[in-house]
Amino acid sequence: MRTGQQRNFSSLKPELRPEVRYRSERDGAIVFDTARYAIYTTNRTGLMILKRMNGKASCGELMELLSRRFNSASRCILKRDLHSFLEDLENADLLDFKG
Amino acid sequence: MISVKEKEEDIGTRILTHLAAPMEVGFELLPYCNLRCFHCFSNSSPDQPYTGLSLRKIEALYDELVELQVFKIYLGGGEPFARRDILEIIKLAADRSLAVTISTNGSFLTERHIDVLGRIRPAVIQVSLDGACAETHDGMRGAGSFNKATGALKLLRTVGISTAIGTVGCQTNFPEIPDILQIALDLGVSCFHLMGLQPAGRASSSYESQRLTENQWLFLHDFFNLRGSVLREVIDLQVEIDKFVLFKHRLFTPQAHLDSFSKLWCICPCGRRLCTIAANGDVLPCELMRDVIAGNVHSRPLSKIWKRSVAFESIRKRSLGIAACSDCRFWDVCQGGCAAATLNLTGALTGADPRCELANKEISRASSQS
Repeated sequence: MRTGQQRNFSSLKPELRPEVRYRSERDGAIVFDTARYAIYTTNRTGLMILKRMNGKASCGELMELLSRRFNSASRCILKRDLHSFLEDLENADLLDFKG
Repeated sequence: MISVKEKEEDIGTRILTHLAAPMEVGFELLPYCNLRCFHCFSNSSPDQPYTGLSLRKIEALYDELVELQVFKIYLGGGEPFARRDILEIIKLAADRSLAVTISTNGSFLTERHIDVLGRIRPAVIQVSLDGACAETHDGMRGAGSFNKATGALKLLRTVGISTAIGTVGCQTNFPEIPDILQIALDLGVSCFHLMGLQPAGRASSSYESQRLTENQWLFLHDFFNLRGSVLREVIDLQVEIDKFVLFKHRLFTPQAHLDSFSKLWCICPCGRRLCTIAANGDVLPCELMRDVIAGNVHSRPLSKIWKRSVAFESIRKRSLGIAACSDCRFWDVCQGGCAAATLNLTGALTGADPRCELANKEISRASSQS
């Protein structure tokens, strides 16, 4: 994660860029980058995270959310998946990190 | 594809047949076109009427699209720049942050258009170019059209508008396809979009004689594969190689375990992810399927047509009963192929796309056993 490499992952607050819009669907979300006209899709878990990517919720809080949602899953795996998801979004220039 | 691995979420055998609302909506702004191309997917020509949806109706539809969270629109025709109010039509979409793609033959683009387009900045303007020289292009499209198309591309570049070249590959222009790509590079075009001839509209009558052969598609596959990595930085190559050729020659590896949502992005999008509004207001699953009318925007909101149309329902569920495809390893990414081609070539929506050799072999095998 470019922005977060030198910082504590848990305290970073991801926020979708202003030019990025998304739409809820039954099985996930469609993400549209209005600056590059690129379309991405994500599943329902991704949608759950997208809804909270407002620059206020930290990665730690997102982790807690995922832990509650998938209470039998290992935190280590959840953290890896969340990190990977945010990294994908960052690599596509869809989000910034605050904090 | 961005995805967080699903955990404890079993979507089981649920099948997602369509999105809650279209992702993209096409507008056929008028049936009229100044050209009469033999490979036209509709029947546009100078004989067709100038009439289309009013500016007021288009604006109301845009508002509905925004409400439905539709992100993209496609403006075509006929020739959209033949409409005198085309700049207002584009501006109204841009004002609503709808990403606008316009398809044109370039004939009517003037300095005035360019000046205004430079300020509106649509997502992309695609100009049709079907030959690398005037002789071939004009032979397919009409006298003088090559110079108009390339002239339009040059003008659009002067104001920094993102442009694309759209080429319909067929027997007439096959040898020149590499040279058309070179023109795209020389003109600084952002995207080169190559598609095959389709069995629709006026193109239907020459489809069998003009469609590219399997070997020609294989050549194009190799040609663009070799250049793709080198050219990626300078041009977006959208090359629609015949997928049935790719399937047959195992040049496509289906991703394992696609979820229902992901599958929806791999298969025929008509009536599932997109639809087209014809000049008279008829809502079609796509521009290639003119005989399947899902409703009309003059009498019913698009949202209701999308959700409740019987015609859309039949398109969305056509793949469920195709016996010839049931054991195909490419099922997840094909689901019976193109609905429009199936309908236009066989007269029925049921059954596999008749262009698929794998399905045809399966049908022969089943009939020889019975």
